[in-house]
Amino acid sequence: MSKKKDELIIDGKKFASRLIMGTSLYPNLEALNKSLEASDTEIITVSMRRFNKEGEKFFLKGIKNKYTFLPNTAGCFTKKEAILTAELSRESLKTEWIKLELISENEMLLPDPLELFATCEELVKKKFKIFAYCSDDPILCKRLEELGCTAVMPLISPIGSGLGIRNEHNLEIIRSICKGVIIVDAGIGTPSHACKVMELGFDGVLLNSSVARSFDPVQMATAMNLSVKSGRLSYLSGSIEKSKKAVRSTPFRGKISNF
Amino acid sequence: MYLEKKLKEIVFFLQIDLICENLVYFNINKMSKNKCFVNGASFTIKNCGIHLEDLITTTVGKKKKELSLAVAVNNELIQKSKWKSKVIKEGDVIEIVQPFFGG
Repeated sequence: MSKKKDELIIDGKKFASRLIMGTSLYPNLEALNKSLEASDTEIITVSMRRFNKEGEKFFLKGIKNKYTFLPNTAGCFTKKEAILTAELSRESLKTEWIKLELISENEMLLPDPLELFATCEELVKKKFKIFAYCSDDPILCKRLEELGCTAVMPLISPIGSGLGIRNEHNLEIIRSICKGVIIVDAGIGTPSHACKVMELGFDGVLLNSSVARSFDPVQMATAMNLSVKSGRLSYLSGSIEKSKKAVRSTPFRGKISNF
Repeated sequence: MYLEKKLKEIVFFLQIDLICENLVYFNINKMSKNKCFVNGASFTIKNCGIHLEDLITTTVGKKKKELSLAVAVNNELIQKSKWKSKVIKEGDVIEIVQPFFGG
């Protein structure tokens, strides 16, 4: 492996970890904090919600301020809603970063590609750094990248489904045609899914439910951390070519004669 | 004769009904006056108006500076620097938000 540090560079900022963690659905704050610690993450996602006492407790006392915040537009259906949410998050957290989520319906929570693209166009003009959550359509990913998104974030299956990779071929195409930062978001269920995604050459993984809803979130966060690192090392190492026939590993030379 | 009496009765009740309807309308109208909406709940504006800064303090408390709040009025972001000068009017819709758990 090259001695050069393998860092994830987003918007000019360097990160040692390639795992981005969501902060929702944890059984309690302690589990959340311990899981974030175990995951080695440096970037965490947050939403923008109406002021309430619970939120006050969470933000003031709950989370260590060592993380980089990536606010999202979760729950937005329209361009108008998403733009206002992005502006509110920029005002609140003093960050240009926005994880742009525009869902089309309530059952599958699939992203709406048309509304997403139109919103991206608007937010790019407003100087936001967009992390565009989108479907695993290679051309859409390419177009979003060309539009100026900071990161493109295709799903591998619906949010919170834990189904893992549904269309590996699409992911391969996305990775081959997009040269910028591509982070897989949504659908990760197990560490092997995260590892596989990283082996395909993606720049990072964003996950939430698979850790927060597991029986032991802290242990699962550790497993996800290791699997993302493992997948990345595998990708950088260059795996062997697949063959339909066996390829001998132990040489024949020097073997005792057949009898 | 009987029909005339009945007709008078009907007219009388119709008039009563109309008066009641007007009273209800008057009350609703009166109730919605001097109200704005903060995070979905109605809020009474005393006197002529209230500055956004004061409304936020009333809703959130004096800790507001520590809470990373952001505010929109009628779906438009109001920057922190303009909270003091922004006057909230009757019928305005105010959203006070802060960071929260999210995936």
